[in-house]
Amino acid sequence: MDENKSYLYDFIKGLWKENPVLVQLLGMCPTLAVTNAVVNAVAMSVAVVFVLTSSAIIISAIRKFIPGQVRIASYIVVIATFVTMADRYLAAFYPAQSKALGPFIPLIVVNCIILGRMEAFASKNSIFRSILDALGMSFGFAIALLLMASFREILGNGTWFNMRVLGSWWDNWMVMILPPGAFLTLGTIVGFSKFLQTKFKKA
Amino acid sequence: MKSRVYMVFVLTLVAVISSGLLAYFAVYTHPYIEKNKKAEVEKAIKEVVPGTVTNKIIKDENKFKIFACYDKDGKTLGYAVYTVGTGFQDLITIMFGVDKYLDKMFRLEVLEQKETPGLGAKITDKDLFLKFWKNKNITGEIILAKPPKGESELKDNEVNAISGATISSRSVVSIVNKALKRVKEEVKNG
Repeated sequence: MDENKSYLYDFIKGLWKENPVLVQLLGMCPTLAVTNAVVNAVAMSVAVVFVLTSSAIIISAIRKFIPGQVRIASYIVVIATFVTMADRYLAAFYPAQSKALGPFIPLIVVNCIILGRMEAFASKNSIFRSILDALGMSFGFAIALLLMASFREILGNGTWFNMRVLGSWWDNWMVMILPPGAFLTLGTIVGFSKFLQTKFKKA
Repeated sequence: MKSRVYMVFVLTLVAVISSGLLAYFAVYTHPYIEKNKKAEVEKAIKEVVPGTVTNKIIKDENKFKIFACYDKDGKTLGYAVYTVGTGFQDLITIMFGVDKYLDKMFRLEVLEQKETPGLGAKITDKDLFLKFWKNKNITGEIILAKPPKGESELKDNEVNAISGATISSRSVVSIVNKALKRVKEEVKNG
């Protein structure tokens, strides 16, 4: 594999082959909690792109100075710093969005995709490759969230992005926007993606 | 021994840099956040007591405020009440407007809430929940109708619950009833 190809791989592996939600099964809490409406899923994804990429840059830059025993603690401090900055920034300049997101933004700190990528990738690789990895992973996260949220919002509320897509004949499946709907959707989507991946491998 | 000192040093340094950054950022954003909050309260007052031009705060507590609202000639229109109470998950901040005789509620607004998105958060939905709160009779208490009634069947002191979010709906009603009781006392005592 030549140099360019491996850079490309750093990015695209997160989209499908090592998708953090569908394959690694990381970051389940936000996946289950915020996917009851597409708007929430988009906002969550944007915030995760910002936090994951900035943390990856900083942690990759300081990786050689962090002793192994305190690395997790240091990563969490760095991640929490970015999350808090994003939260305050939204509250100051985009009060409407900040209000809509409510408690989801502070909860990014405990999203294990971020800590997982820091530990598995950014702490061992160059800044440039860490950025590619972070972008790939956060886009993979966004894809999975959008899929989940689309299913749940359309079936549970008859809307997509707050736009009516199903007619008034549609009886909302309330359960889809409740927690059980999240588990049902996640199970179905993960199962289907596993099916596709095994089929793809054989072919 | 050396590595242990180094370990403590590094983690301390990371934490100090991070808190320095955050402190700077908090100071920088604080005035904007305060301004947003104030603007929101001012806007809500005008919203819940229609026709308000100026207002004066007559009761100022951390979780309970009364604003007297005046029209452009300085005549009292009514009172805007700011109140905070417990919801399903966290505190709910509400503002509602009552007329000066304290027997009619003009309107209700939810300023802050952290209820379940898609369910409890519908207490902020103008077409689904807040529309029931217009021009209510408040000589007694507000009553929650569960199961929800048709709009024409609702009495003038009843509001419909949100299906799937009974606890959030009930919280709003009880916060309002508590606040109503206090407003009546406060205003009676001057």
